[in-house]
Amino acid sequence: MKMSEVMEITQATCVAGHHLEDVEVTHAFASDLMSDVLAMSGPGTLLITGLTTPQIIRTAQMLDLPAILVVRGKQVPSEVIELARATGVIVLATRDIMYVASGKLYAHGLTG
Amino acid sequence: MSLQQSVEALRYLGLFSSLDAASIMSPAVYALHPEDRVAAARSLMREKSISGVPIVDADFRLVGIISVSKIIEALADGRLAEPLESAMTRDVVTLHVHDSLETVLSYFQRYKFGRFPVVDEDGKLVGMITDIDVLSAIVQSFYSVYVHDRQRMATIGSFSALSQEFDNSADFSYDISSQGLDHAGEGSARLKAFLQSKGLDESIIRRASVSAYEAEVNVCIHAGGKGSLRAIVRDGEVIVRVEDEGPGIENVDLAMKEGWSTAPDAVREKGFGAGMGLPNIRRFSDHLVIISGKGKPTKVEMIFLANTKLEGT
Repeated sequence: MKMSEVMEITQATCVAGHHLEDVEVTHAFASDLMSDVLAMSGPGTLLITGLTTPQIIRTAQMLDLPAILVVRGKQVPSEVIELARATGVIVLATRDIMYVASGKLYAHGLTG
Repeated sequence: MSLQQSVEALRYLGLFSSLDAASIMSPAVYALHPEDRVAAARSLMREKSISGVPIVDADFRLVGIISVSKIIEALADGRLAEPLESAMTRDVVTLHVHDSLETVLSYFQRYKFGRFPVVDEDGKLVGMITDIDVLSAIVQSFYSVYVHDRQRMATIGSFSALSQEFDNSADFSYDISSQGLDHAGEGSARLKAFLQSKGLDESIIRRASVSAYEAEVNVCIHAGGKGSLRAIVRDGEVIVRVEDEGPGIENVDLAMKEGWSTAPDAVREKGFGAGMGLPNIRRFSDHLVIISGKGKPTKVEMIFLANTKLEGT
């Protein structure tokens, strides 16, 4: 699924990153526990999380995750946005809660 | 294996290097004074099920020891009412608080005694060491070592607790210095870039970076954010070593259990501290050695081999 589609489906705004048409994710993983993300997901996965710490960017960076969807309408701090830009990780933000965002994306064919 | 060889192996592995007489001994000891009667030693031994009692002066300086055999002699001669001074052994073989495990073992072998008093710099009695104390100390220290090897004992050398190469130099070196969690991951990000520059396979880079990241986060959560992250790359294999200055892991076996954590709630709110760090490192590495202990530095060494397939990913 293209990041532009993810944005449309969850009515998300883009906090960091560009060329959303060109970036695709093949799976998604929803969690606020970074150790579980580190253990169970891999390249090409969209990370759906309610956390807005620098650790979400580091986790994406270590795992080669192309993008993060921040849920629950959380404000992403500027230093996290900077880190995302520096590391090339796309960050989107939606007002949806994690369950709803995941459900919508799953219904559109993005599986776990 | 002779005792000599065993001691040699211990030294090579470095497993028990932190064990000294002070940490092996039983600190609470029963002692008597030279003017106490032999009968007092006899009843003390019977009551406490011990086979020897150290004799100390008023300042707790060791002046002698009395063993079961001396009591039996005294009993035969009808000297139970005499002071211990007359029956005790004055020439006592003692261990010093700073004596190493090797020295302790060699004393047991050389003197064939069942127990040795331990004295401090002033010759004051601070504890006793029996063979049971030595055994307990060794068993205890196993709690502080963890070895995991995916290709178990592929070579004899694979049990070497830690790679010797780090003693000289490393291909990659980063000083971890982070207040709180916010900077956790900077070292691992640099390590990842370094591994990429070496043209390694994506999978090994990812496994090494993720594991280094978990270890770096641990240093930030548990060791005040002070430590080092180093790596060596050779023949497509990556060795990563993360070290800190303590306070150490009291029971490494417990720390390896998924979900077991001593991290504060504040850390959990940041997405870590759920007791998955070390289990994750075990999952991603081919060989993992952890050496730590209560109040000791922690050393975590992980080896990643090329072409290892992970289960479930």
